[in-house]
Amino acid sequence: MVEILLPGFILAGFALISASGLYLASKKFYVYEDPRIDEVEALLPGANCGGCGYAGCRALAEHIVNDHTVDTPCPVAEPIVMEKIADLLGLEASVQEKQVATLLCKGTHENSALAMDYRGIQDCWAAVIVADSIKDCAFACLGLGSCVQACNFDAMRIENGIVVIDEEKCTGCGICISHCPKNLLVLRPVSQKTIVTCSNTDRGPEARKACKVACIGCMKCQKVCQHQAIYVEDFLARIDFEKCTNCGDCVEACPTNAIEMRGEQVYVTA
Amino acid sequence: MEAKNLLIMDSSPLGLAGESTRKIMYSVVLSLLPALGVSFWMFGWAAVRVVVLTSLFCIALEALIAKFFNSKIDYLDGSALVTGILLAMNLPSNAPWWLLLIGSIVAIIIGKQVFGGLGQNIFNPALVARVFLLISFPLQMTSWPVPGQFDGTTGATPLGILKTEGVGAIAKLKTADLALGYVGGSLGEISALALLIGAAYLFYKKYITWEIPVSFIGTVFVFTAIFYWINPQQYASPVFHLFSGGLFLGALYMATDMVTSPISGRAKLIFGFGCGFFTALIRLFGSYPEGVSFAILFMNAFVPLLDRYFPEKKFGMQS
Amino acid sequence: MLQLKTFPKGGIHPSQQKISAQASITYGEIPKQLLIPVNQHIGRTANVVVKKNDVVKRGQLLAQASGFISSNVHAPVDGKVMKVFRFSLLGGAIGEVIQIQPDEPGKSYREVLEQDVELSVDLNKLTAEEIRKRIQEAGIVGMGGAGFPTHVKLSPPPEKKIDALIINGAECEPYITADHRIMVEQPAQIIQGIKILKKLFPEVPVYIGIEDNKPDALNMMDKAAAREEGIFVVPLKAKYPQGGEKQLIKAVLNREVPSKGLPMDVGVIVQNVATVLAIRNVFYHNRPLLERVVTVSGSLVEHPGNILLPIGTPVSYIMDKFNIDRERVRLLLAGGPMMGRTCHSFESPISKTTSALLFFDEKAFVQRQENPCLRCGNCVSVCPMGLDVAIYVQMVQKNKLDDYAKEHIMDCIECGSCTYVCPANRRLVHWMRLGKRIIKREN
Repeated sequence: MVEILLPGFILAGFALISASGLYLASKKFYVYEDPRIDEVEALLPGANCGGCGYAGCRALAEHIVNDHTVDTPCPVAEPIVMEKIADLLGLEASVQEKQVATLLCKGTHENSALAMDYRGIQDCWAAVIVADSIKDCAFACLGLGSCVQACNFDAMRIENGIVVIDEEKCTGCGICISHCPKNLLVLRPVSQKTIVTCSNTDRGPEARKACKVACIGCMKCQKVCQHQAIYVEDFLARIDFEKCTNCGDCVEACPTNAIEMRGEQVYVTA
Repeated sequence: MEAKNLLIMDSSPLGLAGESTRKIMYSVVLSLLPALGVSFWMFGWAAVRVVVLTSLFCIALEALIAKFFNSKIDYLDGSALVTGILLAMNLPSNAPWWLLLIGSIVAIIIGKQVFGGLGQNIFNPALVARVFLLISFPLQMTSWPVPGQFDGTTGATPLGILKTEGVGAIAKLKTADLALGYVGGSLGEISALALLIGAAYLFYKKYITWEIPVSFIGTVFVFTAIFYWINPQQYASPVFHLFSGGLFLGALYMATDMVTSPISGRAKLIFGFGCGFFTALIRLFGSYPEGVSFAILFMNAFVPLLDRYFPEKKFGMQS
Repeated sequence: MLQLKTFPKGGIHPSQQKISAQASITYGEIPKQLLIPVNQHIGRTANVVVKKNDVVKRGQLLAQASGFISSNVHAPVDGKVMKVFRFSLLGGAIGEVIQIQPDEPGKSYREVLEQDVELSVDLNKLTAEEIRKRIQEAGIVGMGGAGFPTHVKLSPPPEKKIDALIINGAECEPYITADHRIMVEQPAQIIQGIKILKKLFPEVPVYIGIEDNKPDALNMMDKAAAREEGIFVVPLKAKYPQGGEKQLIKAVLNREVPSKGLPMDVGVIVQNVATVLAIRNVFYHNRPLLERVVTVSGSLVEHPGNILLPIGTPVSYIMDKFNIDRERVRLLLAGGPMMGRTCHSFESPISKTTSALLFFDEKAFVQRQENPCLRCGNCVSVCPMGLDVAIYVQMVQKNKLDDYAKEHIMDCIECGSCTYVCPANRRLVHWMRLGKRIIKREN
């Protein structure tokens, strides 16, 4: 009987000692943490995308609670989430419009042909080591999908040589922007429908040669715009989102189809 | 513009030496032929059966995985064949077919593919299988047919005799017999000489380097020599330890497996020393007669650490 | 026999393929048009100082250096500026070029050279300051491949004491023989150039490192240097990448340039032989860097050779000159097969750093299917920098670089030895370069 009991007692003794050790350690090394951090974190999406600029949702929650501010809203969450968090902390939430990533290029294989037979690592950053661009246009989307890999929300895919963004799925976290070696991705408010889908700053003839739908810097859009919302700089039209009313005049005026109106219909590549 | 007229663009360098995974793997197979020849001669068709079956099982298993899970696997790259042959060399020639199948499954699936396939496994697949079988089926794994006798007589290995009957019992074994392989044992652990001939080819091709075999075998020799010197009545001679058991198979083929050994020279020396140390420890004081497999598996686990803390000396860094 | 010097760690012996080694330097004609790249160097892009329809003379400044680490660009022939635009350069980059319509297309470049002034140089009258200034004005850059402005290299800060000059005649890349031919044909001129450099660093010994696979160059340089004091020819055992600065210093002087350091950190300045010759021409012909010797070789070139060409000559001109079938070319390399860059346009012009143009067909390109790493360690054992290539590359692939890898990846000299020996056909150099990019992006 002792043979059975003794090990039992010894084990129980070990358990007791260890348990009290753990208990003491948890008391001694206890770090106070605002319980609201957990609550805020629970409200956040938990995707840890880093789109807000913090290392993850926990880090953002710590910032919100410790600094008692909602100045950095989660770019991914619905506005209601930030409102809830603001309520929790007794703050005023600033409502922000949903942003989506947008590709400023329409250099599909038809529009800007491949200039070489690239056989290296299939990654945009690896490709720009070998050549500035693999297409005729020096500014074109390479279509090797570094942004697709970076996207945490499955909102991007490569179609016909350029990246296509699913604006339903895109949360506007902006992580893709820094993953484009050609700097072709920007965030725009969803309501901004008019976009210059080109980033070529070469002179007109060269831009035209490089791509069928390039902006050639002809200034027609600038002249036609009644709101001074579109202007040409370095032979490339740019839109001031603050002033643009999405009237569509510039889209009509553009001779090369470089300005586009994003409608309700799904964006189909030319 | 047609795609075929476009110039090829790629990162430098464009020149290649023409080495390939297949070349390496089939060279290893080639280098194993002398040792296989000896075991065929010693154990007859039974040995051929074991080698053919494990090789087939291993390749077939990898082909199955390639078909159903990861089509990128090149199951004919020779790595599965090498695993199959090495596994066979770790088994007795009278092993039943189901034992071979279980061994192959353990080697390919648990030893290799669950880690992510070729190059990703931490432990040598053939050794994982051997140890698994040794622990699970001790009876089948320790009744060794006696070489040259094809009537099913089984006996113990020299190391087994040493462990169970003591130093006196091994006195009648001749060193030459041990070196040439005229002793009981698994397919591959019998002839040190044939293994050396094969390994010499791999040295020549620079597929293995001297560090691991030398430090492994050297350490075993030194350790067993120390104990032999202290008490020759209780401990066997270092020469006996050198030529018995799977030391040469382990040191030349198992421990030098590229995937599961460290990369830099210094790390390889330490790795070999560790293998030798634990082999000697198990042989001298452990309950198993042979410790090569356990020692190598144990040291395999240290490879990432060794790689990290004993890297190649960097150019322009004060050490 | 004495053991020839070489660098101890790593290195490979690729097939030499120096098929143009015995072909004397020939001279081309002035092509119908020249495209002068504005940026042919490491550093800030030069500012174009000419405009459309400007008439330019040989040696006239086309683009002005925009800072200390930048370089001037000059017109190699008389002509008219047609336009300035962005164009595909050799090696995949896209950059500004100045298009020049020469006045005398078809004129032999040899005649152009003969019309240059011939000056006698009194070394005693030259001051160090003047030498540096004239080298800077002449737009001299390292002609071995990197294109680092030479005047910067020759102006070490005072706290870096220079006690050795190394002239790089290793030319370890397969195929390339441009430096080899220069050494065989113009050894006296190279020595003249070295003597100008010696004025900058008086009393400093000069070592000319040449690999033993060029016995004629060794012989010629030895003869030319024999009469000079403090100039020594150092035969080196051929091994790739001996022409790398750090490896050459290790081989010749057994000094190790510290990680992230420069040769001047160990008191050494390295200059390529072609650069030295260009420096010589600045003083003896009052000629800025206007031309260079290019090796034209590869499996599609029937008669491989070395040709002296004005900078800005389009590749297509060379293809016509060497009868290269456009239809068959699938691979165009600027530089050697180990470190050279692939190019995608036959209209791209040669630059100050184009040491070779190699033409190959489809067969030369090995379609590489990347297989899993076997951890065989070949890449590590051949790495002249002692890097754990396989380990870093796995981290780059998983996009999880640790601090250890980040510290060492930057030391990669991209020599290509690792990729060359990898049995799994892995694009190790490309991955390493990608790793460098990722680190730069994160900073």
